[in-house]
Amino acid sequence: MSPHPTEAGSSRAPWRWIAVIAIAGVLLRGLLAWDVMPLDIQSDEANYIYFALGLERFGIYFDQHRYFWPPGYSWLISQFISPESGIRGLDMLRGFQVLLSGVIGTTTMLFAWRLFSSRAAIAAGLLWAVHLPLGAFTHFLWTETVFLSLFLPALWHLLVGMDRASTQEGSRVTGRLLISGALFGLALYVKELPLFLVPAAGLLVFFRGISESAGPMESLRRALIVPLTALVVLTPWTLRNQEVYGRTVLSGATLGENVYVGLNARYLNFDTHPLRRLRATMKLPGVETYTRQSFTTPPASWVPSDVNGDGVIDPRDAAWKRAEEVPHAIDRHGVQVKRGLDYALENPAWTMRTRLKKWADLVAPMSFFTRHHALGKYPAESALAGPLRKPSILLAAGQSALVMLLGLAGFFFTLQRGPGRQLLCVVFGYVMVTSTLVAMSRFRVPVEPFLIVLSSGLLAHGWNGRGNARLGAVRIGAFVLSVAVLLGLWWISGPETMMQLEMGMAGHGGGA
Amino acid sequence: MTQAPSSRLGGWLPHVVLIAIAFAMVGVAKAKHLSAESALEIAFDKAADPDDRIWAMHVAANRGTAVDPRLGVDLVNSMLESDSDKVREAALLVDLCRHAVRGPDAVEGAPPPLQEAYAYSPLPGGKWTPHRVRSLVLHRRKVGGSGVGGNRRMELPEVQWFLDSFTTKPMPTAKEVSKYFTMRVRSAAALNTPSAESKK
Repeated sequence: MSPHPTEAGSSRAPWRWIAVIAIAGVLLRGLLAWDVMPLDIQSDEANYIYFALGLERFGIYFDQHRYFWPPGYSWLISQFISPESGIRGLDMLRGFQVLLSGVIGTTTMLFAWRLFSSRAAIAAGLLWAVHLPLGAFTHFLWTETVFLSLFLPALWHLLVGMDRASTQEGSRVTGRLLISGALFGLALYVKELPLFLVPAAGLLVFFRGISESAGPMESLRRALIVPLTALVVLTPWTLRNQEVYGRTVLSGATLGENVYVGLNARYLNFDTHPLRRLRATMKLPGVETYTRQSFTTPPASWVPSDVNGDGVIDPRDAAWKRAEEVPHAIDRHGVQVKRGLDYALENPAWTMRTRLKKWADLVAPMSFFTRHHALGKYPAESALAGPLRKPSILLAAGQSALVMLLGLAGFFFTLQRGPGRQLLCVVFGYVMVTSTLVAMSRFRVPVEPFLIVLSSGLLAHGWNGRGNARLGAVRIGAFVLSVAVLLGLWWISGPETMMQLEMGMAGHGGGA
Repeated sequence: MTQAPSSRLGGWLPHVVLIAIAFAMVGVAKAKHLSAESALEIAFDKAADPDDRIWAMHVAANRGTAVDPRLGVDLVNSMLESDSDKVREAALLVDLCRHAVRGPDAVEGAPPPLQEAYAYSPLPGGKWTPHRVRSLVLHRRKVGGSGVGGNRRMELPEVQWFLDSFTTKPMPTAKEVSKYFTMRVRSAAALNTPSAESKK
């Protein structure tokens, strides 16, 4: 394959470098995983395993009552655990995820090569290989590694398909778009996130076709391939849901619960919320005391009361209740969405200021890696909880912050116009919009590889970009404004970020 | 200028094939469709194959749009009386717990009474049998909150016990289980201490 002539200077991907760096990245992740074994489970990891046990016992996937997650990850766990393997099967799954991360590394480098150059691909590979926030997900039992290994190649084939459309390779374009759609479909078995991105991708392909004078019919033909293929891949699951619930559920149903959490009086930050128990044990101030009140306090109309009857007024005491009276697992979401929207409309000022906090949570330079440290979940005898604890936390936080700053510069100064920029705008915009309900550092993971790609473009080609990219006043202005917004969002989440990082640095966990 | 493959019929062939596959799958699903009445019938049928009975329960319980005592009481009792361990365990799952019928004095979020009584009833012979281990894990570690019987999240020892329950490995002793839960209760107690969160 050859990159678009206006978007890359190298006609052939540096496969040797890509292979070497991908293997190095996988080995580093393997080393990291080996160091932290045996690793305890935490939070939703336990829930995914519960449903895997359900599959093991009954061969049926049950919903989570408040959520209806897609079944892919629990199914995958069920393939690794068995009565014979016991919980060692979970370590085998971790090993599989380590290997799978090679797909993420390779795709990240390919994006950098296509959007910039071979030099940028190597830089992206190096940044990815040592990127702890992404690397840590290979030993966590969260969906992120598996999801990214499907989602990134889906976007890659979409980009190549869009790009190829300008050449005379109709069947290859179709092939790329078919693969993209199939991968999106598979990704939707793991995570509901790209559900509305798939039609957006179709629209992007359509407008790309129109702008290249392909004609409306040909543009429509291309545009329909991705969503149609994704839909067909999802059809067995959708039909199963229709049979079980009597409702059309394409991937999962999480909106109602996300609205309950995100459009409700009390505020939860999932990067710090799990620390509350440990902090209570250590007689430290509660996590709520670290939030900037202007962005989290409930509306004036909110009456503090112990809604859930657990004896304390805390973030779990919401202003409006879940629709527990509706037993139907899917119908409940619609009711809660309505309640949430009504509440948001009744309190428009609160809605606006708390959305800023959501974005602050999205871009806070924390990660589940630093959260795991703060929780003390890494075994005390591991190097990561010992001599590497402080350096690794600093490195992870630094990497998160750096790729955001460099990524912004790469976007405004180095990335050229074309399908790549259009695709990145859609993906970044989509993640930002979906994060207005519930946000945390984990929700940034789908765009983290693209931040690495953009950073690598800047590192490889500098401020003046490649080809006809210009350091114009508009670009500089947009960049300065974006950095100012990012710094402002960091300031909002600053106390919580520092609290979480300091907890990890102090080594409260590690068997403490 | 791009060559327009759509000018040939072949350009639309993938779309046609995809739609045909989707329709074929819809056809298969329609042929296998289980009506709500049939599902309920099979779910109550004590002579039915355990797997068929569990699937029928899953379908009947999840299609229900209102709390139904036939599901939350009658079917739970019927399944808990089954000779099959698997069927009894399935009665503890989220599907039927959603239809639990509570007494007028029950506090909000109270766990489903029938399932709760079964999962915490005295151990026969004072021993943790494989079925009782699975019942405890499936009921107590259910995801979805106390209203459906979920307590706190599962931890690795429970996963191991659950998996061991399918083998000939010995089940944990009553003392071992008791020690484990005491440890968990203590760690949970730290959650709501006054220093952490404002009191009512």
